Amino acid sequence: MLGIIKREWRAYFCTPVGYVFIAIFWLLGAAFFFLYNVLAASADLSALFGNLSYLFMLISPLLTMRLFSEERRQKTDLLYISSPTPLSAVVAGKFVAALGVLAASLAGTALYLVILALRVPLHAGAVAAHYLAFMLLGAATISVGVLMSALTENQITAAVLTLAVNMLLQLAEMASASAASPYLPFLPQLLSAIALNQRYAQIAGGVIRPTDVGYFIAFTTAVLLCAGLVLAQRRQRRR
Amino acid sequence: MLRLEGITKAYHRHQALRGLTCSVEKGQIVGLLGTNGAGKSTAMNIIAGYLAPTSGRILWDGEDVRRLGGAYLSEVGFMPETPPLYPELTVREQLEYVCGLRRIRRNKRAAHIRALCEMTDVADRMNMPTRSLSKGYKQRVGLAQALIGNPSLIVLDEPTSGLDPEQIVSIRSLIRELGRDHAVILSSHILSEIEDVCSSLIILRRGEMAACGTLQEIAAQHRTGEYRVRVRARGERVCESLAALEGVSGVTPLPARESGWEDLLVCAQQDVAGQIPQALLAAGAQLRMLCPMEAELEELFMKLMQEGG
Repeated sequence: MLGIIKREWRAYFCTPVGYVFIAIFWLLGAAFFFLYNVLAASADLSALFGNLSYLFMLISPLLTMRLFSEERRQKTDLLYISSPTPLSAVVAGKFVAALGVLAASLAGTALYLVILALRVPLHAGAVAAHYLAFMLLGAATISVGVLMSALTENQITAAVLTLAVNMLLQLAEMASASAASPYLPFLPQLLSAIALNQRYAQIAGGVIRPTDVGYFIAFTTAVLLCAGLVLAQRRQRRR
Repeated sequence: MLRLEGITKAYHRHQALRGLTCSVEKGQIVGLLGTNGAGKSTAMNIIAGYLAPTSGRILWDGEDVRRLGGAYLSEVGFMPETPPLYPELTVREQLEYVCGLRRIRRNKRAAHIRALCEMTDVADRMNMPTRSLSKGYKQRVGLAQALIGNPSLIVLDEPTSGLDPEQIVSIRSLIRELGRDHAVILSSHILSEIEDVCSSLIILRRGEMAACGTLQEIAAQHRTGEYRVRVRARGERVCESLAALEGVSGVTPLPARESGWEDLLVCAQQDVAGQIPQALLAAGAQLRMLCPMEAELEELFMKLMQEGG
């Protein structure tokens, strides 16, 4: 799996993809920090991380869209499909590589906190909760991208599908309020149940319940398992 | 060692393979022949585990490979027509990546890669990105990665495509060497290469096996009594007098191999070798050579393809 992670990192940073992703994340992160913390003279990190989470939802396809699609297109998928390495390890390797880029990007935001800590005292627990929530949400978002990339040979299709599903998951809570219908009475509850942002807000706010953390882990694992199944199934159907 | 039993592969409505049954043993170099679309690449992809057959089964030492899973895949090295290479990786990194996938122990990788690079003659390009390699070098890196883990069965799809004559000779001799203690399945459009390197043949025609065995065995199965006759004569009389012989089914001109002399192919249902000189003498022709047709792969291949329509 380490070899797969290493190769994915090479692919991110031998092309502009990795740099563009990190640059967007840091630049817009700096803008949010300036707006919500410096200008507003606030030590509250909710607005900064909340906006970063929406930003990540929008740019996460940059990290995930080529993971499997590109390999299919270039036929390099032959290397892992016809190797003794299980497909689950391949999926996990690619997922961890993308998560690693997110972690590296997120590590850069520590600089904002250092600047903030020079002026106001920060609560370590609150900061840790924000980072934990962001990584859990990031893992779930990336897993969706991994699955979408496994589903299609076209990178753009993978990116659009990833964006659509992640938007649905992020905005499901908001949509649940207006989704009441006599024909689908269960829809508001369903949307509320699958929504990620409510759980994210709970964890980021310092209310770390095993059910919320477990939901993110279970969601991520289930989606990655689906990606593995898609790859295994495709071997049967491939032209 | 490897046995395919009734392998079929359908892509939507197109049937790429129809009940392919054959065996490959250790120490054999099997040539896979067929026209474009005959199912060679599909068969190779199935053997390599890249594709699953629609029906039929593959046995490895008597066991179904679906049960063996990864254990079977580590016994097979595959080099497809276009070697799968990551453009951003160097040759060394590419081979290290494949070593990881093929579960080669970390402490053995460097020596293994060095040995393979020397064997395939890419040692001087180890630190070059694969995107900057020539087609010939890409083929050789593809061959090196097919040999990672010393697999028992090596599947090579057009291994000499894009190589210069010197490289072709060295790769052929490497394949021959590998064939001593491995099973090798090789596909090529160069019939002389197959004839030169392979110990037996599988000829595919529209997804079906048209012939299987050594060249001599296949020739024996498909021989109908053919003679090459080299004559010097004027007019059509020679062909007419040969065609008039009892048992002769056809006389066809062949490309001339000697200036001033014409080559004819005489097809017969019985032995007419004794009657041909007399017929030629009567027609006023000069006979230079009369010999039964040797089993030449090119002619045999064309004949098998024509038999299938």
